[in-house]
Amino acid sequence: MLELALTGGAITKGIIMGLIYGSVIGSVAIGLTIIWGVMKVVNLAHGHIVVFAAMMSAFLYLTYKGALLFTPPIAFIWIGLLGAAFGVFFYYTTLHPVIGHVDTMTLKYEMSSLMATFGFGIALYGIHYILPNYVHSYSVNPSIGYSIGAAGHTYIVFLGVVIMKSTVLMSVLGFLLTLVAYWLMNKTSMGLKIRAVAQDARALSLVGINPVKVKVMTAVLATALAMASGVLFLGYSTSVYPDIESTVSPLCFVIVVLGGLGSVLGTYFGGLFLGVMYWLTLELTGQQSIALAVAFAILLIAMVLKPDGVFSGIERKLSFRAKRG
Amino acid sequence: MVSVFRRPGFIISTIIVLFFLVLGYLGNINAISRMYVSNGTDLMYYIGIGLAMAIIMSYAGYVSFGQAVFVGIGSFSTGYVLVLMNRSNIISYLAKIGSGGRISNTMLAVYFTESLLLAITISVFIAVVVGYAVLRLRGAFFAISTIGLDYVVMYLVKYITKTRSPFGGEELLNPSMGLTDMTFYWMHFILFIITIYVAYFVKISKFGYGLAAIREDEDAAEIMGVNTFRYKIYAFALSGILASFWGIAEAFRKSYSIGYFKLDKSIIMLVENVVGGIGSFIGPIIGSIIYYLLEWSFLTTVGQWTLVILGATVVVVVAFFPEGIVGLLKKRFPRLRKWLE
Amino acid sequence: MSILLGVENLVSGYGETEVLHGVSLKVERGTITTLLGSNGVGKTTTLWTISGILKAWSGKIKFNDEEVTMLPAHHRAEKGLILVPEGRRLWPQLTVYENLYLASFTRRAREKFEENLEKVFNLFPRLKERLNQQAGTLSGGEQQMLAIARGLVSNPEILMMDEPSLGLAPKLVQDIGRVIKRLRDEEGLTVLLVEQSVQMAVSIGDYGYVMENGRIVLEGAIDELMENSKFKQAYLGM
Ligand SMILES: Nc1ncnc2c1ncn2[C@@H]1O[C@H](COP(=O)(O)OP(=O)(O)OP(=O)(O)O)[C@@H](O)[C@H]1O
Ligand SMILES: [Mg+2]
Repeated sequence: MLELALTGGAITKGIIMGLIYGSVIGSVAIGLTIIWGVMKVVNLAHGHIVVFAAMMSAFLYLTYKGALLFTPPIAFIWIGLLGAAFGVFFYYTTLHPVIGHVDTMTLKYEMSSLMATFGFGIALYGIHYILPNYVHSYSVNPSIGYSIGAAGHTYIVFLGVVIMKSTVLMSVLGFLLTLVAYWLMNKTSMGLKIRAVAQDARALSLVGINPVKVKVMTAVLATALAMASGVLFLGYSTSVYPDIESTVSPLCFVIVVLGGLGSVLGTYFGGLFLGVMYWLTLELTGQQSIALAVAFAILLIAMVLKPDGVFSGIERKLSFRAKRG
Repeated sequence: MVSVFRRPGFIISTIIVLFFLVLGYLGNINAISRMYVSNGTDLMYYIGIGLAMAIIMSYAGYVSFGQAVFVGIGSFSTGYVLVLMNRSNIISYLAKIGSGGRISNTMLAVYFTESLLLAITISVFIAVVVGYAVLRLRGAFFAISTIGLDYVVMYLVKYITKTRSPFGGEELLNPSMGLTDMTFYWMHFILFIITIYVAYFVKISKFGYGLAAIREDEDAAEIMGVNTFRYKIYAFALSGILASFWGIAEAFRKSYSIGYFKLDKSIIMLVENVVGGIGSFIGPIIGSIIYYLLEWSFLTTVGQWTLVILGATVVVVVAFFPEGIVGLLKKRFPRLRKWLE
Repeated sequence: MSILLGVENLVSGYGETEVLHGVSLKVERGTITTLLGSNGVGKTTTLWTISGILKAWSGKIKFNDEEVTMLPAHHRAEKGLILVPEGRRLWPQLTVYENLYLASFTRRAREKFEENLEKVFNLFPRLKERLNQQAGTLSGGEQQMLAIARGLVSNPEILMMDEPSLGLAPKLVQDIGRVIKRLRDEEGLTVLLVEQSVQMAVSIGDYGYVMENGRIVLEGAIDELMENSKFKQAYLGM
């Protein structure tokens, strides 16, 4: 039967590991909160894009062992940029036919976008299997390429908890990625246009802004963030396989709902919260399946009780507007 | 009003049922015909899950990723009845089977019925309890919450099998009962008859019209006096019960595994409905047949490209034929309209 | 006086249905031209087509001596052909300031943003008090002010307004009329006005067109129209 290991050590470990994990998985969800929360495209391909980037970077890292360019802290930048180009492809193949000429995203278009991105996701997932030298999963030994500090010391001990240095690095990078996304969405004119386009695209063309361009930009931003975060995910988990998508994607949806759709910081905090809950359950029960069940039970409860998101207030408090009014 | 038995949907359903009946009788001739029996079994399964999904998706317009949970519950019920109950009478057959024995039809019927009852009970329980909460959500929120539902149940069942399975893993292997492909075919056939007629009669009933009203405009339906919430719960539960039947059928044939809970199952059901055309009874059937034929021919011709082509097909259908094949046919051949209920 | 906007034989509609069957009109620089007609005759359709949201099926649209018939809507807006649409079409979840700021991204609007903002706050001091309020939570009248303000911040060469007084109290209708007049007199703004309050429209307009069933059936300087007994009977009930 289930045995609860309710000790102080387990709780400390759960919280610390949870925060590290949460920071990474929170940043993985940012791309989704932008495309779904802001542009109302229910992007079921998000998880596939994240995993695709992770697989790609793992493949490169293992092929060119030791090359600095392919270690996650560097790769996440250029794979993110590559993601921008991939976003254009994603937009024109999948989103444009469905939402390109839509003025206001109603339920009907949301559902079409959901179906279309779902198709794109399956296709992308299928790509793994047709690549000539496909392997079922990649394992990246974290100590080789991107341990920080003295060689050979890949672990640190903090409050009695043993932590892999690389995971700390990834969670810090995840936080930075979140800040960049927050800045883009809330402090730049690009973010403003993106926030306007889902509400009324036609009105944008009336003030001289090409709405299709803004839609492309949204898809590009979301995809770039997704791919960049995919590399962080790899750096954190050190191994990756295509089917991990079936865990990543639902977790992202949970986090976005917790965080409040469209709220970048809320989503990040949603990630932290979920990470802590997951790790605490894991530490207390020792069962991964129970921990995941708890994560999704949180989703159900949050959706029904607080569909606006639990952490969406954070962003509203932090974002100041029209200081030049 | 035309008698129900003369309506196009009923006639088509009956033709399909007769087709499978004939296939079953012709099936047991030689090795090649037995291959068709196995294909026929698969096809019934695909149409079955497509129609189960149709009740919530095609009729009521709610996209659910959670119907796999009910397929999973069905298969878990079978696993529970056949394996976890550790019944001596099954085990005692094992000895006989070595010498070509087979459990009696009566016992098979008992296990089958037990699985059905167990699956229906759990499905209704989950559908009502969870539906009571999540059916307040609409659109994408509902869809996402059903992903959550799927995972909660899947991980809990995973935990149960892990701790209780005699094999120690996540699988529950059926004891071999000496059953042949033909037995499985007829078990599928029984469930197929139930599924297709239930789905059709729901479609043409007052309940079905209520669901159609919800699909077209839920707020308007509510104002018109449709108790939308209750209708949605009924639809969710009925869809779940039918889906669980197909979990049972497959688990008798292939044993329970956690795979039945996987989102892929919901996704197949979803694709069948979208490709066929939302809003109709015939659409999901056509979609299921096409899905089955495509998958089958892809697997034998394009191999690993299956998923890529399947995904691309969905994108194209959603983008260019949002009404699915039924919508396309209706537009191209207005005279067929009557037949595409 | 020069012609700023010239429309010739414009035909357009929705899907298969033709709504405009050949509309011709001219707007002189620095004047207020009104387009009148009862419900459903195609006034809104005319403005949507001029602004480029709807495609012209045939006919010509000339703006500033340049043919714009085939240009996409956002290019026309960049040239200063600005529409304040029927039903306001604000971004309800953005703040008042964000709504205005978004209108300043074209080259012509960017240069004059501060100046235009000042001007708009002069006309509608209420908006200044509500800068950080979500547009969707403004009252109907305030939303209409914001819609006009957004049009002005776009730095229009011509401002086309579709029923700016729809749903407003009579006093506010007068106010809006006064604002439009002021803009013409003080700024020399050119206006193409569709208005259901014919009273207000004729009191400020210079020239008028009357539409019926997708065609222009009557046109003339407002003074001339006022002498036309049929016009007066049909539209002013006199
Ligand atoms: N989106 C649309 N699709 C199809 N027909 C439309 C659409 N919008 C308007 N129409 C039709 O075009 C005709 C002209 O409509 P329009 O909106 O231009 O009228 P209007 O003169 O602006 O009327 P009102 O004074 O009521 O605003 C009407 O018959 C209307 O039903
Ligand atoms: Mg109008």
